[in-house]
Amino acid sequence: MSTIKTYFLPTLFAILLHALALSFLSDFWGPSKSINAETFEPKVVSAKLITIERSRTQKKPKPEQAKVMINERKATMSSSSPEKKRTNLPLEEVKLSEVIENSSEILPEQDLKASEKKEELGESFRNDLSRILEEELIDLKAQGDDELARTYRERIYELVRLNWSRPPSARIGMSARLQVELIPTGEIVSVFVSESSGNESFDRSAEQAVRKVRRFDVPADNGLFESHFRRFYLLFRPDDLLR
Amino acid sequence: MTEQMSIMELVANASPLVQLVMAALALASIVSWIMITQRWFFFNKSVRQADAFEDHFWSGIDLRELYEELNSIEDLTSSEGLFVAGFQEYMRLEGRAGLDPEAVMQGVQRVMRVSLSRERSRLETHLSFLATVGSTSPYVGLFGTVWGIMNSFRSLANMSQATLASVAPGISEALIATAMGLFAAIPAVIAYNRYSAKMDLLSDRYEDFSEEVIAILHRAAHSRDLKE
Repeated sequence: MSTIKTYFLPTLFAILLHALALSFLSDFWGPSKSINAETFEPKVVSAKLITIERSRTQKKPKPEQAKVMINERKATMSSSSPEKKRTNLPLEEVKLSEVIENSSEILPEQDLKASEKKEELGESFRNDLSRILEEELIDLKAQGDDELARTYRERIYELVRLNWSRPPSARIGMSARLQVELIPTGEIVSVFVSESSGNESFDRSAEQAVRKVRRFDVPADNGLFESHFRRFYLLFRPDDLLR
Repeated sequence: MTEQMSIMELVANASPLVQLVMAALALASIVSWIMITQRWFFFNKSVRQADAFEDHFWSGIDLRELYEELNSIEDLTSSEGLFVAGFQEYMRLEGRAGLDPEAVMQGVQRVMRVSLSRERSRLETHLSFLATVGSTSPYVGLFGTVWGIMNSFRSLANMSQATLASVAPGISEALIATAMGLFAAIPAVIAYNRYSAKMDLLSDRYEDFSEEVIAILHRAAHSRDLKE
């Protein structure tokens, strides 16, 4: 009888210990609090045909014609399918600035050079551009075309931004320039890094982002395509890291 | 999120064999913890008892008195038991006429040896169980894991598109078996080592004590012989 009594307390202790371990485990490993799935609805820029007004008074060209800066906060999707399980990482907000420029027709050689010098020279570059553009964009027809091209361009940015998953090694100040060549159906012929950020994975992520799109929406108008989308540059820059 | 799975779900979804292994390991863990705590109390009590009795024994008390005092108590253990067994035998043989002191001492020694080995086996109880749990439960857990992973890969073979999400839960649930095996084994091994060291210490102590009692009784037997 006394032997049974000596086992009573140990049994109680052992069972209590295991219950504690189990409850700790299920608490610790149990259904973790659901990550509030903030999905950022991609803002799709709808391309609409702009009716061309034949007014000859407007002569002011837009500097954005050749260089467009978009500073929009955008969440990079860690994976392309949003219904996939999310990782515990908080959604990173990434401001992606892209510079798209047209090199085939409107921009001569010196523009390419100027654009390679980044922000510091941006202002002078812009002035330079404006001057050139002023000479070229007298016609409002061209301005209308430009308006249309911009809409398409916005959509290209959007697509690329959605597909861009920034690597963890990305740092402020990095920028990679990619040259993209399309065929009139919008499919990508070639993508290559024309100006490396110095970080290989960053370059690769940028290239991946473009390749993932596979097919861009391009204007059906051949002239517009040839002048704006046959070949263009994309500048990838993680602007708001380590805020 | 539905994708997040609790440990309970994982265990519930495991294959029957893996579940069996897990149940066995859980049982082994519980029982080994029962043993561990029981032994803990037991060893503490034994050391305390031995300390107290040896203090009492060497306080210069008359051994006959001590024997009378203890004899009424049944189920004596540790040094007390040793002393009572030896002294009882001495008393019995001493009363017999014509028995020479050597014969008396031989009898006493034999009885004390028996009582000592009984004490030792009392100290040893459950230690072999702890040793078994400590050495085998990692293997049992590993077996469960291997089986679980085997199954999860086999089911992967039937899938057209193999994704990580289709294998990962199976592997995760299989690995629980290994974790449980280690969970059971680690305390058991630690406890086994600690308690076997304690057991050696205590059994040495009992041995020394019984030798001391024999020496005292030997002296008493021979002095009585001289008196006569």
